[in-house]
Amino acid sequence: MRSLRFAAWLTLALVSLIAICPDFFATYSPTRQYRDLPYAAPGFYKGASLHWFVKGEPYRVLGIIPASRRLIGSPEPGRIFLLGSDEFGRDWYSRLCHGASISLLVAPLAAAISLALAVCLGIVAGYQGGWIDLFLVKASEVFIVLPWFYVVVALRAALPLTLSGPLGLVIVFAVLAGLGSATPARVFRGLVQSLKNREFLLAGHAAGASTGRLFRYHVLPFLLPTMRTQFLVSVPAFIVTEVTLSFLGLGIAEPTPTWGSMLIPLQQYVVLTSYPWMFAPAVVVVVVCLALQIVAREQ
Amino acid sequence: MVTLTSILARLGNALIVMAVVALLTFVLVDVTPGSYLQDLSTNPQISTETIERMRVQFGLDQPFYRKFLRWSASVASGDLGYSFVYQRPVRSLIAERISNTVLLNVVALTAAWTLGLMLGLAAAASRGSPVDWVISAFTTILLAAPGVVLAVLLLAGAARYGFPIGGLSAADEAAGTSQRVFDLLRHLTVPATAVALVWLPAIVRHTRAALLAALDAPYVLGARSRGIGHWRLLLVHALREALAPVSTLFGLSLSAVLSASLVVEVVMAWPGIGQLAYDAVFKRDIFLVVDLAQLSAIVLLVGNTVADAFLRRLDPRVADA
Repeated sequence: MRSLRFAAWLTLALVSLIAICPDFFATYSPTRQYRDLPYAAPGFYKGASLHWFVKGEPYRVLGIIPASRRLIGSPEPGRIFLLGSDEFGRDWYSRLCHGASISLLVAPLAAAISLALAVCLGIVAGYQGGWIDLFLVKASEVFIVLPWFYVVVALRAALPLTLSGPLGLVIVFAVLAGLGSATPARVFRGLVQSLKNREFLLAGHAAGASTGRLFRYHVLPFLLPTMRTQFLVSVPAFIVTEVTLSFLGLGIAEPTPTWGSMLIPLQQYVVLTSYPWMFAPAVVVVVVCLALQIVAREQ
Repeated sequence: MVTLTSILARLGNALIVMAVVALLTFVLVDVTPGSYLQDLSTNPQISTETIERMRVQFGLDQPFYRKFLRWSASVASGDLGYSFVYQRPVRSLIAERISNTVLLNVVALTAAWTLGLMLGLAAAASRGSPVDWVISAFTTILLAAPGVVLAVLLLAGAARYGFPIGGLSAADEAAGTSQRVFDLLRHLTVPATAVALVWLPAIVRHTRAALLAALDAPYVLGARSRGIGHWRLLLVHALREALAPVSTLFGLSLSAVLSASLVVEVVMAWPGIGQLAYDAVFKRDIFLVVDLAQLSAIVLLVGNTVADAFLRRLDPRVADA
């Protein structure tokens, strides 16, 4: 079991590293098309040979620091396709690396927003009670019932076309995170309600502690374990949401790759039956979600 | 106790939630730039006058609140409006599609619950053994796979083994009844498996966890000390208590019917409600969109009510509260 957890942490660390600096790990630019090599099987082409830390196409680390070293590469005109290529001859492995940086940016971000909102609303509703509590509970009921699919589509359509890049996706996920905070908010509300009349809080109150101090030192520590679990559970959930949305054509437009949009070619019969390397993003999504699950499980 | 007032309160609550959902979807549809008629105006074969006439006919020239009131009034009288894309009333369209979605989900949920309860029982009965370990590994992997990935992988498998990969049926009208039923079943196999696999891991895990919690309870220890056998303990004493938490999941699986099978329906071209919603949203068939959003809200509310009713039936402590 311990070695399994270690492997899971290692996987997550590696994938995060790739997500932070996809260009270094990718062999080529994710949008560069080698039209003479469509649907190429994984392998070396045009007399390519494997070289480490080669100078490749220039890029910027985190969009700031200029660099051009890449982990692997081959002298021209050789091509290395570690995971084959797609119909435009784009390197599938490079696209997978760049897809990680979007999928793994959006999911933890949405999970964090959702958690922060849920904790705030839960504390307010649970501690204040009265009409605020009633209003928040009723509002959460509506949000739970609201079909997210329609919300996303309307939102995508309502956003200006210039926002079609990653920023648009982040906005969509911020809204989804808001909608998704309704259920955990009810959990935290219940927790806070159960704490409210405990002796140590009353004692703190009697000793003249401010509300802020009571929350910081007496309520929050009780919520932390639940917060941790909630976060670790919702990260894979939001990865799955990204995959689903992008697969349905509601994510980022081409040519920017995400793990979900890289599954779109699999809707074609030919790809489904003849090009097994195109399943790579599916495998990666399952492996990452698996690793997150193993990490989230209590020892 | 279930009293008339509690039922009425519940109903009133549900009606308010539905009204707010309707209002919100209407606002969402309204603020979205572009419309079906606008897309139509790019068609050179349709004159501006025709489009203008349609706009007036469907009340789309009215201000927002009027449109909403008009829609509410017509829905209250049983008329769900008109689909621009399909050129027919929404009501008959939904009625036609809903049977396909119900068929898919009834088959899939029956399979998932039968298999899930059995696997959960098997895992709980042999806690810590290789059987338990294998079942747990299997559910963990399934749980990590998004519905989209499962659907795509199943499609690939289906393509390899000659199963039809999409659509409802291939047999022509002239074929005999048995042949058509067989054809339908063949087409149903892959999508139903996909939907079932989405639910299976959650069912197995909940069942196993609930059974183990029940087995650890003092009264089970008491029963065991009186010499009651392993299987009787599991199937009679523990299962009865374990069903209460599991029934919550059952209600959830009912209430998520439309959203859970949406992806599978779209990927596998199953002509159900999910696929209808997907198309409607992209083609801006506004009345269809609003009606389907309303339908999925109703299904959710009904599912939650069923879950509550189950829980009350199975757990007297909840019923008295």
